[in-house]
Amino acid sequence: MRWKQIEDKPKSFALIFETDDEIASVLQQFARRQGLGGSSFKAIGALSHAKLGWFNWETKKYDPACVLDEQVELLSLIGDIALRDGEPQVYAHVVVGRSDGTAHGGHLLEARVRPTCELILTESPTFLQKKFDPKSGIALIQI
Amino acid sequence: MSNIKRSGCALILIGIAGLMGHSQEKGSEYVAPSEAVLRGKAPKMQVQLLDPGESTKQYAVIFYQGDEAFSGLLEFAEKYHVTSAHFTAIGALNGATLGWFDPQRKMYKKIPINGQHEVIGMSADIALYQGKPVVHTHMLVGGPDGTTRGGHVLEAYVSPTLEVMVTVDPVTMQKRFDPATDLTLIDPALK
Repeated sequence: MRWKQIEDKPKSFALIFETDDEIASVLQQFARRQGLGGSSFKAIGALSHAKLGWFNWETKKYDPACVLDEQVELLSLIGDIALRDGEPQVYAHVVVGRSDGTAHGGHLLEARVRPTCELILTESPTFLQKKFDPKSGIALIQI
Repeated sequence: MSNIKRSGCALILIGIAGLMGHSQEKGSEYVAPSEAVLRGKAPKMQVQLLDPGESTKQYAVIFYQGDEAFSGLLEFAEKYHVTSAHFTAIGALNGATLGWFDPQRKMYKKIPINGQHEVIGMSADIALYQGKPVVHTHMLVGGPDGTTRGGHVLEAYVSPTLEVMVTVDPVTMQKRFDPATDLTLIDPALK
């Protein structure tokens, strides 16, 4: 993954992923190294492997809803990064398109890039930053 | 090869590839990433500057009935000298060709979208290749029963409108040719 800062206020970056990069883990690493507070991002690209999750309200965990071990277009990746005990947590939703155009969507668990993924990340103003919500088990915006 | 390309191009223009009896023709269902984009296909497109900003600029680019949005976005990028941008859009269309990148063939497999569809989401960016803007767009569409399909946008015929909100960055983002895929990929290290 290569990156470039594209704006100062608000702090914004372009992150360009390459073949075999796993988006969620690379993003988390990037957020930690840059010391980012809450941020939001969006991306398009293509993947060789995707694992999508569905939030199970009973278990408070993500069930694997769909595992695609094939080339798919990354149609939409929209998400944010929030701090949980000072550690950045990536929270994102993804829609992918298969070779016949059918689309699958869910919570991002794993996404392996091939050949590229173009992601724009913007650090959020302090008042929009998220906090971990123990009731739901996920980070929510606390206004 | 040029014959196949020409017939592929003709099919795009007619927009009813499946009905023309060419569907068995090898190659006509695929399009090369480098295929030229025609201009002048979005005559009703309107552009409004929303926020002149000191560095980042925000534009609304609005398309109307019959405009072909992909070529229109490229014309917008050329006219406004865009060197780095990203945008999202919603709207509706009547007829589109989406693509799925086939890594073995290094070409996009065409996915025809016939009839009226909602544009549920469209995400995209713009970067420069050899000094000229390249628009990279993905789209998710919904049909009359709510089922969705999506892909890389090759062409999209707006009906009745498509509202594109563009953020233009104050930097230049460069692309380089990637021989492994025949695609142009953004390289943040390139000046």
